[in-house]
Amino acid sequence: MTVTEEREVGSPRRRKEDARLITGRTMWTENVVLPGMLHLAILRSPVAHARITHVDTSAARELSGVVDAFSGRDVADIQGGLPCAWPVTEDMVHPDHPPLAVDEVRHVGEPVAVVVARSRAAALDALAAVEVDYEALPVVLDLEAALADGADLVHADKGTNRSYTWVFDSGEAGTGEAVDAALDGAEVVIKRRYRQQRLIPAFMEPRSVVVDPTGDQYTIWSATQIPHILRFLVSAITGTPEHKVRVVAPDVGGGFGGKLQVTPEELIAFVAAKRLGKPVKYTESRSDSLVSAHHGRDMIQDIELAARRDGTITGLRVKLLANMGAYLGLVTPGVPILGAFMYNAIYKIPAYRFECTGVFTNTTFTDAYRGAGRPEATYAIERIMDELAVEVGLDPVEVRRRNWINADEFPYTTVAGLTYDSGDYEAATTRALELLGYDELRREQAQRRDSGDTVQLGIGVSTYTEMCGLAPSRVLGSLRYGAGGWETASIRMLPTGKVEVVTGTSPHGQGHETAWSQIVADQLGVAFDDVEVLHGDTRTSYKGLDTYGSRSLAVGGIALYNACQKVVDKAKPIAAHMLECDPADLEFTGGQFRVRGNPDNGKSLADCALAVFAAHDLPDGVEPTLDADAVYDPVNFSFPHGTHLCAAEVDTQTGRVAIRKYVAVDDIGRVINPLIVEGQVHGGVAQGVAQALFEDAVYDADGNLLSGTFVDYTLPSPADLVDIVTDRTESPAPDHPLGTKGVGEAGTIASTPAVVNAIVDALRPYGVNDIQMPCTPERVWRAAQGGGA
Amino acid sequence: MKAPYFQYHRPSSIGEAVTFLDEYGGGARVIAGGQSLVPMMNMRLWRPLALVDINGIDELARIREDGDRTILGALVRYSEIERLPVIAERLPVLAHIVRYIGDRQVRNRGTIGGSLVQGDPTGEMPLACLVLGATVRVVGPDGVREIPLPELYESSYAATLDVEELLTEVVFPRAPQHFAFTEVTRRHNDFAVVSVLATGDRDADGRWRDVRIGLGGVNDTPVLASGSGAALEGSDLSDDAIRAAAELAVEAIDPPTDIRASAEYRRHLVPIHVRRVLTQLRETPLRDAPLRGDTA
Repeated sequence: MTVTEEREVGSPRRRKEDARLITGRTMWTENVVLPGMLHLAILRSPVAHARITHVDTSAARELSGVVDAFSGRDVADIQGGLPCAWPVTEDMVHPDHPPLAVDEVRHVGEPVAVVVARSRAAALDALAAVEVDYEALPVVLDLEAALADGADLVHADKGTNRSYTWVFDSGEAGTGEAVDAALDGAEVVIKRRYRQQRLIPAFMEPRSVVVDPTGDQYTIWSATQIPHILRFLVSAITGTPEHKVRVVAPDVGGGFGGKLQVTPEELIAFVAAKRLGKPVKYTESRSDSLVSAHHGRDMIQDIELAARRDGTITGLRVKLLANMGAYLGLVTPGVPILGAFMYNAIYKIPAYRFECTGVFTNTTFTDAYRGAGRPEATYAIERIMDELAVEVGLDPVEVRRRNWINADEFPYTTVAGLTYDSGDYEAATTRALELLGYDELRREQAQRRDSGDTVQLGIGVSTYTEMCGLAPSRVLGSLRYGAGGWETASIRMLPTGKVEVVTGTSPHGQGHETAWSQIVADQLGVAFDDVEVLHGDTRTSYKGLDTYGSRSLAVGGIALYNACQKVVDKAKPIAAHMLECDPADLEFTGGQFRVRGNPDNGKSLADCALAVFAAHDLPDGVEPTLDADAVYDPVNFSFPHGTHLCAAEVDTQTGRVAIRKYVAVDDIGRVINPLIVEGQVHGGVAQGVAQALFEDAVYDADGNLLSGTFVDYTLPSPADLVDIVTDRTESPAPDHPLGTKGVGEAGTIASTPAVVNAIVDALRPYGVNDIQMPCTPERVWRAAQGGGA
Repeated sequence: MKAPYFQYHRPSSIGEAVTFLDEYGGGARVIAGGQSLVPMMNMRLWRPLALVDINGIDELARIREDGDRTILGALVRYSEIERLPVIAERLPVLAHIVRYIGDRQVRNRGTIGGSLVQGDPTGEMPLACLVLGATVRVVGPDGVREIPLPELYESSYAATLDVEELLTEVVFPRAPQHFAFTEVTRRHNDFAVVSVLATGDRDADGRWRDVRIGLGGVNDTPVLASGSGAALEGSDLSDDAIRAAAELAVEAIDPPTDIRASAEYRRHLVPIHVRRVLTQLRETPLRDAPLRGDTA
């Protein structure tokens, strides 16, 4: 390994991409304007479940400005079906998912017909002229009722609403004991049912797609997290040769998993563009987005924890019902399965069983949302750890301490079969307790309880871990995931010594351009500003697996590091040739090759770049290039962890919850840019607090989405959130040279149980042991009345 | 453009605006700040044939002082109410309550007239105008008429203006010396689940006069808890007096159940927040009174 000075890594650089992103003076998909471009509008189902008996687009086609109008029936043979890349079991029920509904609609908002016009307004106006007749079918919404004998069916031809049942049993897997015995003989068994409400990812930039058919080439601009996966799947679905499809994800305004999808709208735009031979654009409205972009969470979690009276956990059994919605999206079935490895969390648990059943309902399909399975798992285990603490009469921190993996026990193979790489739960927790002023707040809590204060104080604890760096390809294969988990990076040394980096990750707000530049600046000894990071266009970045699952730095960052080493290795014989010395005598520091013992005599990487450009005098047999590609397939996940603490005041008269103090101490391994990390933690905590207190996608009994606008889907604003006290401890990832682990989802995973634990803790004297999320003032008030919530 | 097709007119006088409204016979809508109208059109829930844009009618943007009275033109923006000294001096309730409306962008566009015609039962501006005893002036083909706030609404989002009438001015009498306000929302500056505004004057003996308590979000329209106010006439706002008045407030309400809160919860909240607001009112310092233009 080359030894270099570390100047950029660890520095809180302001993000180089922010000026254009914040001002919006950049290329979003919606800004793409092409000669002759047409605009597409989509008529969506107003009903949750119905047979389509008749569609007539002829009147729409007659309207001014309208170029084409068609229904699912019109394109049934050519539109293809939407993919699910994660068939979690061999016998998983996987219904057809046409981009445009053909015979039946299965959720409100499902695309039914399309108008293409010369302006967006004309296309929208013409939707009103499309006639559709629906014959109502029974609506399936309740997960348990959906599984009962004789239940109405979402997909009648499948004969069941069950998509799959996936089981992990530590007794069978050989990673632990059988859980039944543990539960039967337990001194303490705590059984709870938690509900993960449905959430809407609510990215800032609505989804948008432009498809341009020029000659036999299709260029697709899309506000997507996954340009590479989209290219592969569009090619596979439409039968277009892969080299004839180019996908561009220009700047993308957020995703949170919500743009980890191959969408009906992308394929509909492709079909329309192909049909007309002209470029076509579709940009969704926020109302369309809330009802049709995939939703997240929505699970019922039955959890049983067995323990001894001293608080030691002896077994854990988890049974999930996961709402798939009406169809399976790209990784819908796998989202709850990602959680399977996280219910055991940071604890040494001898016996574990996890069972998840995916259920179809007449709702928008669910899929990845920030954390994807891990927030749900962390919520359930961290909530029930507090219940265990109460049951055995221990402080919630102490009950965790008695069960967690100690710092000297890493690497530690868990009951779920994963090997945690590194960590120090005690260190992070100790720091968090200090920052919160835990003991003082406990004293205040006791005083308020004693005096019968109408405002009670609660303290919520969440000691989380998560798996980042999706993922070792071999592990993904064993889970039946449809792709690998490697990532690529390329370095192109320009003749003047400037550097172009091509990454296979696809940032949509994360700051890769900045962090990647910092890594390259250190490894190649070039200036931060001399690095340009290219991404998201399959013409420049032809290979990659994109951005989700906190994988970009943990996997793509290592590929980048390795590519840098290759550049240095290529430059070394060239520098040696110029310096007329043996390459073995050279060392590379601060961007300079120097002869050991002769620090004044050196050649920079830029000198080498110019030398290969001229190629006048290179050593024999040396290829005139410094460019290098690297592909990195991780050997393991990385496992960040941390302790989040929330102190909340609860007005027992009104149910109003006010977070008084929030402390987040995260251990995410080595840090490239602390400012970006801070942003990720703040944003993540905001989304986790939002699940705890604010957000809820609500359907009425007929399957109408009641929270279909931001008026009713109560996304909080900064004014509703709190100052977050952050700090870090550092346990470097041991499996790779950067030592980084991943931080994209940590805040979301940790914060939800911290907040709910605080509220429940405040109301313990009122007999409260749970409150359904979101903990609205009304629910909290009802709970405080002893009425349950 | 997301809205359906419509005709657009920009009159430069009140008379011209009323003529346009009359011509469309109910098919036209007045656009001032557009903060409610435009979203409804963009969602295609409203499809007016025409918009009559009154932003070019300068006289509607004026603020006038007339003895004890203060008269605000329909086009006065929330942001002006928020920052103009004349409002802070003469109608401090408005200057305070306006900060609970929307966000800065909304307040830069939204107008007092638009808010009153929209008639959102959770709206802060209709509530404040009701409690302050305001009267609106409207101009129609048959001339001018005045509508006191209690008669402005038939039900939620339904002002009693005729389709060809234009709201031109809001007339406020002398403002009370004291006020206190609270609002329960799911989010910062969201629609109110419950809002309570109380005003009153305190005489030299510390007795309270003309206490008026307005409630938002708990009926089809903002309502006055008249019984509560009457019970406090001449009182010292003692804890007992406040508690009794707060209990009476539920007589004025008929709360809805919606995605934000149930009727039962709103009913529960009203006496609690009336009590808290009255307690707050009692603690407010005495302002110089009465408020007159020459004290500015």
